[in-house]
Amino acid sequence: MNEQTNASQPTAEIENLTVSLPVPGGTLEAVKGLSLSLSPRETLGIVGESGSGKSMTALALMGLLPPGARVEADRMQVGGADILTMSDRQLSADIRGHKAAMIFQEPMTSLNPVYSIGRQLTEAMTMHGQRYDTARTRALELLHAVGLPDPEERFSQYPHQFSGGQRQRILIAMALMNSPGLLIADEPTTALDVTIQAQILDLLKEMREKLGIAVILITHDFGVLSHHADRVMVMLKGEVIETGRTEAVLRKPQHEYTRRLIDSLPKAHSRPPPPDGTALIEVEQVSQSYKFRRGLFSPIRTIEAVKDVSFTLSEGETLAFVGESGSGKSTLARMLLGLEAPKAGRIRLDGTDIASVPDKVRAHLLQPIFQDPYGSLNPRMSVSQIIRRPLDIHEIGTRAERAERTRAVMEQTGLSPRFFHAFPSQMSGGQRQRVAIARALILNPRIIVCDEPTSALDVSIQAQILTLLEGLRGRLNLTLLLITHDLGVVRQMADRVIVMQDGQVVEAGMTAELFAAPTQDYTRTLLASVSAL
Amino acid sequence: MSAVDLDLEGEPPLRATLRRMRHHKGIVFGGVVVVIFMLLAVFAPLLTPYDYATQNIANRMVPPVWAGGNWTHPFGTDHLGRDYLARLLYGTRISVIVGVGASTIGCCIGVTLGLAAGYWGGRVDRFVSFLLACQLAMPTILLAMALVFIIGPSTLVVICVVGVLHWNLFLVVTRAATMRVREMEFVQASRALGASPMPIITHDVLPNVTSHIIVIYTFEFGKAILAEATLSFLGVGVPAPAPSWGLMIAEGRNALFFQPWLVIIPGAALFLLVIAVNLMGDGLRDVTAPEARQ
Amino acid sequence: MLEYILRRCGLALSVGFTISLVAFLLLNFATDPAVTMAGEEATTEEIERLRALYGFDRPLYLQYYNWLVSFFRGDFGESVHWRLPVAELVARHFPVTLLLAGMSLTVTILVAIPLGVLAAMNPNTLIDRIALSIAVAAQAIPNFWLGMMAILLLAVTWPIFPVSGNNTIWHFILPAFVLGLSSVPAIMRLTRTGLLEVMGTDYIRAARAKGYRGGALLFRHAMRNALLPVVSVLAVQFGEKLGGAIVTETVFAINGIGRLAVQSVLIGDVPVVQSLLFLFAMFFVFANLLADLLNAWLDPRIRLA
Repeated sequence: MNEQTNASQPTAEIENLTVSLPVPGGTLEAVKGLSLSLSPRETLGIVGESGSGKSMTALALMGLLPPGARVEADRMQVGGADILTMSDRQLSADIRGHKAAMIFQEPMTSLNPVYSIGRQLTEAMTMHGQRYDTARTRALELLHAVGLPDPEERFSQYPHQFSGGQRQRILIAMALMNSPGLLIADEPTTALDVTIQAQILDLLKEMREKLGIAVILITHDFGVLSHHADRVMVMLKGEVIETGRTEAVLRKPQHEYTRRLIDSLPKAHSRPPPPDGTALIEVEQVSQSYKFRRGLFSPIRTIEAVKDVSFTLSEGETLAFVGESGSGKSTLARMLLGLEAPKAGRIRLDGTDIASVPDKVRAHLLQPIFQDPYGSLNPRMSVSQIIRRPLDIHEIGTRAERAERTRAVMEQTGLSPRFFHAFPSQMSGGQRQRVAIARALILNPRIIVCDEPTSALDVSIQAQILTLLEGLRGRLNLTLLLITHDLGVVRQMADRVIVMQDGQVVEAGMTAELFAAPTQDYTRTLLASVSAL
Repeated sequence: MSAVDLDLEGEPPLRATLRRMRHHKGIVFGGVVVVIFMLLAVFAPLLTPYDYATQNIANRMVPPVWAGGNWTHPFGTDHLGRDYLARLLYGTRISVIVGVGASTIGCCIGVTLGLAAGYWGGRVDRFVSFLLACQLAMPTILLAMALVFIIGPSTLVVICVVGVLHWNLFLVVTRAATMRVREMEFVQASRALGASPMPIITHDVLPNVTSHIIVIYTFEFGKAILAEATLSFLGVGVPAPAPSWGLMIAEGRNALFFQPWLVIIPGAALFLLVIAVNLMGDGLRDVTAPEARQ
Repeated sequence: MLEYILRRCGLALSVGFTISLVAFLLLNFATDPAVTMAGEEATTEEIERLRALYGFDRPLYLQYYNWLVSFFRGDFGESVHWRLPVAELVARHFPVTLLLAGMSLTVTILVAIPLGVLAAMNPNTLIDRIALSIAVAAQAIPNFWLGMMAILLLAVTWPIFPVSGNNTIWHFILPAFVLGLSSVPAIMRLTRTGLLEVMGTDYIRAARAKGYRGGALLFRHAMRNALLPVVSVLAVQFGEKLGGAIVTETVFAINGIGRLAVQSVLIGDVPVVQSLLFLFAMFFVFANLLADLLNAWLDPRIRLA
């Protein structure tokens, strides 16, 4: 495809781009003095945290910046067309979907739910006067190419009838309909399960090689880039701080921030084996299922969320549950926390059956930390109220004692006393997660159940929170139950790992051994899908 | 940058909301008008020497001062010679009392049902949803007319009937908000702590749905005032000789072609009060909406 | 799909049943129909005779059963005041109100949807503010007062339209506008927020990345999604038009079912009020059912569930 572009001319070129956005009380320079050049068949990775300006750069290339945004550049061209001088009408006729196409982070919501995928694919061509038959043939050809099973049959189906991974394939096919020279992929795999992530990245690579297009891959995950980008560009607060061949940047990062980003990727970590403590949690052949019916007249269906799971958690150790969404690991946590009761099997906490452990005793034994630091704190309460809530509920101590204890755990979790009367809305994600940890610690529990404790945070903050958890574990002799899909976190934190799939235990073992020599296919896929450095 | 030493990013939520309220034109205008109406209602006896029910047949149908009348009766008199300004002022009391009373009753019913349905879900939710479907299908005006007629018209009856028939918005909004809050992790954290449902509802859920309830309360306040006026206009509301604005419009209707101000004045008062209340509601929704919070 | 329809029908049926029970019990508990029927000067014997004649002395559940059965046979009882079968009264008045309701819904659609679309396409501009001001004002105006002001201005001061009555289609225009305007705020706001929300979704961004813009983007991608919720609310509004007609018909002296309802309440004609309560509710339930089916047809997520 795209024969008209000769090898010497870059597919896309930007010189000295500045994007300013209007914000309350002034303007924000989202991108400052950025330059890039991209040849055919090349993949450029742009990496940075949220707000670094990486998406704004992509949107500027498409002419899709939010209204009010100002663009200045010395030069900006895609496929030989000068974007700076083009009107919106020209951009939409010649650039968007033609010379440059884009796919987005959320495949679940990027297709219009009320139109069939066939219509959404073909309209990319028919809206510019191509015949429907031509468009249909092209669409089927591309659906084959992106690996969607039975394209002819599924052509007239609607988005809700496809899975997330399939939808991202459809979106890739849709982007390629008019044979663009440039494909921009903005976090194309972030919303997908790990095993699907690798497939989509491989598909992008295959399409690039087959069709000779240039790709801009935008991500916050250095791991993704190491296998899929020829060159990388690291952005921080709107500026490019480092750029170069991928291997070179990874091996010898020049900028302090890049080094931190690479270092903050969790690495293998040797810990002394934990002492053989007493069993704090014993789970024997536990199953959980949900009965539901889609409607009044349809048969009752059963979803088996957890099937026949057994394990023991001993005092002082860190056990990680790994699996994709729907593997049953969160259901397990909910049962341990007393939020739901198992349908079959036994759970013993510290030797007593969980059903006969009173709520308040259980609360002293184990406490949760949740994934979303925005949802886990009551926005109407101040930080001190949130942290001391467990003491209030359990009616422990006097007012003064509670305040004193609150200050003590705030110090333990590295929260300045200035936050005492602050509200969650005034804090950053990392600070909020510290508040959540402080709340979990205030009752002096022996076990902390961490449900994806870092996956909602920026990479550099993730490392801080993990370090904090590690420190607390040592100082307070905590037992950790870690639930995550992030194998990097597992490698850094866990003594033992249990891999789950479809509610069942696939494989279990010591972290180092399991990472070195997985015995099950599924574990191997999981491990392979994490792009190691 | 170390997360720990970062400065606080702004002010506490309540203070921020109050500040946004002070800068919102709709809230300021609506609030001032509503406060003026409230003052008129409270100080009505001080503002006019006339009684709202004293008839003076010799002095009937005096036009208001701008239509050739005199300053003894600035808004003129009605078909029984009653001073129209006095009736209008005392009528404010009826509108405000009905507005507060009826929307409070509706609020209690709707919020209770909404919290229950949203928090417990399942069967409770299905039952409440069915109640809602029935309530929505009821022809409100006809049912209210029938009820007032059966029980016997009085201000108290109108308040109760209007209140009992206007809880659906409270229910819908509280239910949706409760469901959203219920799934948030801080509620699960409280449950994992062993807190029982009542403290969770009062401490975790209610504070986070209050802003929605206040917005609905404002709108329902306006709606209740209009409902009372409508019932009184149709002859099954506040009974004569009480000076309900709706009743005043009904009484002035026969003279519409020759003395239109008998209809225009109370209608304009209604319109002004309700639009002020609604502007406040719109404004409150603006300043408490989650998208305005970021 | 079939299941969805069955479920909706089931809900409609059970709501209708509950309301019939409420309508029946309310008026039977609250008033003694025999006393009301006999009139003020009736003797005790006369009342007892009526009681036996109409079966008011039988157990309540039996009375309800009989009432319901005869209702579905088309026998709505007999009006005490007009001395006519209620069914005949309804048949005489209903077409007038249906015409009014239909015309006013047309007014709502023609005013509210274009206004909402215009406002959403130009957010925070003068157009948007004007549209929102119209909504705020229309929401606060007492409908009966608006009717009288319309008569005063457009029938008396400038005699363009007839003052009252329902002899020609010309008589319906003013009332249809007044009644239609009462639904404009809700529909206008819903169209506006719905469209604004849709314009911010990922699939609209994806469509823009494909090269869509302007009118094509609006009509070929955004409109259908934005109008899905509007359809159900329009049906609710149509169902409520009968209730609204009570006021409008009183103001414009239109001899429809709303005016019949007011008169029946004021003279305490229990059989008529009872039947009308049930009828209004069933009309609403039916309009909603229609909306649900329309929604299912327009939305593949329901159609193919």
